[in-house]
Amino acid sequence: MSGAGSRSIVQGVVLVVAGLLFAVPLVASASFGFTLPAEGFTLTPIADAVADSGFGPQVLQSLALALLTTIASFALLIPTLVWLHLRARRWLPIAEALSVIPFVVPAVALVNGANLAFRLTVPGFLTSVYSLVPFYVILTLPLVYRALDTGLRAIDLNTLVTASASLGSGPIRTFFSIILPNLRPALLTAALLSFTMVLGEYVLATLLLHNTFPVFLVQIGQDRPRAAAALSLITIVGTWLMLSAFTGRGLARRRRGPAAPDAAVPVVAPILNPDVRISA
Amino acid sequence: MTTTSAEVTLRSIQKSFGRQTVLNDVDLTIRGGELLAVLGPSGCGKTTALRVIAGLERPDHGTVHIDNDDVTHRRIDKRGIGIVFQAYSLFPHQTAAENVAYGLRVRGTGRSSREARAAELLAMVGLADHGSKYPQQLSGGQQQRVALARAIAIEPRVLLLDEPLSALDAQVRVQLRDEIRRIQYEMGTTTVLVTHDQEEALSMADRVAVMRAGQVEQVGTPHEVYRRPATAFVSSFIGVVNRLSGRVVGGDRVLVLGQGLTLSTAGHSVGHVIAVLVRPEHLAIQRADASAADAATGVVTALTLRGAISSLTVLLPELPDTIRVDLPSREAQDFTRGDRVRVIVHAEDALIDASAVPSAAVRAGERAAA
Ligand SMILES: Nc1ncnc2c1ncn2[C@@H]1O[C@H](COP(=O)(O)OP(=O)(O)O)[C@@H](O)[C@H]1O
Ligand SMILES: [Mg+2]
Repeated sequence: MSGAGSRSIVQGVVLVVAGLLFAVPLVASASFGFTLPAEGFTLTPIADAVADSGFGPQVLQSLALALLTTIASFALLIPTLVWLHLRARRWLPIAEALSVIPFVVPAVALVNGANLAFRLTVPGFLTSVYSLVPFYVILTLPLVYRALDTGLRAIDLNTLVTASASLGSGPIRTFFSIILPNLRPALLTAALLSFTMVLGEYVLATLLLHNTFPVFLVQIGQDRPRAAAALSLITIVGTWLMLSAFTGRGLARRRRGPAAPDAAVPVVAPILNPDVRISA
Repeated sequence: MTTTSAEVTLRSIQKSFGRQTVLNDVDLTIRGGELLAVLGPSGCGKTTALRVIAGLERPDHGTVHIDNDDVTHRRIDKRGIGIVFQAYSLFPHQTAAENVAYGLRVRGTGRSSREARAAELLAMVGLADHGSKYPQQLSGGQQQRVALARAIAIEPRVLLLDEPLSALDAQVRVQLRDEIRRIQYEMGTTTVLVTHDQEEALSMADRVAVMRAGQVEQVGTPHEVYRRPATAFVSSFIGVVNRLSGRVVGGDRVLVLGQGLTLSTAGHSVGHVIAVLVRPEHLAIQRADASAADAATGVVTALTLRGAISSLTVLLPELPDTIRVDLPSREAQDFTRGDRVRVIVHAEDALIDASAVPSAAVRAGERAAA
């Protein structure tokens, strides 16, 4: 009895502390971004920021980058992982170990190496903002890999593929009408992780001199810190709402019945967005 | 409903994984329209044999024919095969009806006709009202019914069932056995059932192929493999068998428990001690005097009621293990633990002809079965 009681107290304390750690910076940046000393609540800073000529293009650019990065990661990783799970399971541990290398290599080292290599070989390549896509694919690889891998482990891939083949389905149809639909939750998780990371990535973009949304935030934060705080808060809350919408729909689907394999539920994503808060 | 009854022929099939030979020169014919059970202990290569028929494994040697069609090198999706797996093979994102209709969709059957067909098949497996449910809303037994309907929907030339009942509760299992048998009968589809459960094999199959360590030891009707097992392994794997020892006393005469029996002694010479295998129902007992002391007189150590029959365990003086005697329960109720009884080897023709196998070989067979 008392054991269970003290455990629930510990749980409560942990929850409150974690909640505070999570909420205090948000509340602080909200109060900083949406108030002015003389006026109280105000939308002036954010209106100024949005009115800035850089805002629209840079937001769109970042969204495009996020979309392209996600598509490229999926195109690269889904077939690879499906193949590994079906045909070469013993290579999975090696692939997994390789997938965390981007965590180990600092972004600065990555970009300097690439910079040097491309300047010498294809000097034009790095001038386009979309040259960031390959870097972002590498950067998001560890998380996207894990999300997809978890999703594949949650289904009995081999049996489903065999069943589909025995019903006369060729490999391509099986991939699109059996494998992908059952990976849905994992695909959502992976896409959201990838979006959040790209929408918050500052270091690579600024080193390669590209104007993305996080770069805009930092720039605007230099003269108008309140606007930057307000915008990053909106970004975080927006991401969070998007997540809730998706997971909420996932839950509704599950309640209605169809198997939603227990792939990683993407609650961690907003926390993995440190660069946005740098500017606040 | 079209009746497909293709004949499947495996010729000299050899399959190894690394250095392990899993199928060793398997020859097997599955006749058109029959249900053949492949029975054997776990790891003997049953699933591999099934996968070779399905086209999921390519044999290292040998051929697979469906009728006169050599399918050895044909991909699974071109073989016209229906498979039901052990469990959880339904597509989780599709309803029961969509699962059943999937194979028809692949074949380009129009929506309304495939929906009608799915409904018809679900009704056949007793799930008419469950078409709109998702797999996780169905019980294990219901899922296997849907899997069966899905496999049948494409009117396969051959239906392959890999331990389809082994994940289910005992009661559901027995019920589904009868149902699969009934449906297979109605459809007339040539069917291979892989199982390690001898009761399942004997109760469902037209013929049973008993496998051991990558080889087919015997193919026959359930009666044949039970009554006339070709090897000691078959006799000990199928049903219960008592191992008695006998002494060859003359050409085809063997002394077992002090009783002279006529048996084929397969070249053993007079004086040799051989293993004689007898089923529990081929033994009988009589009450014995307290003073009687011979090889056939022992003590009842346990009595188990099994419904219509009862099993008595008897300890005989010259045998290391107790033996089992099965009697109609009506007769068995006259005995209790501790009674002294005399064991009679019932009828000579009930003796199984693996009797001539030397005892060492019999023990090896039992180890493999364990
Ligand atoms: N893909 C494979 N790779 C390596 N060994 C395998 C493979 N498939 C089966 N085996 C081995 O072959 C043997 C027979 O397996 P299987 O056919 O599944 O037996 P059963 O179905 O009778 O239990 C087992 O020892 C198993 O470990
Ligand atoms: Mg098996």
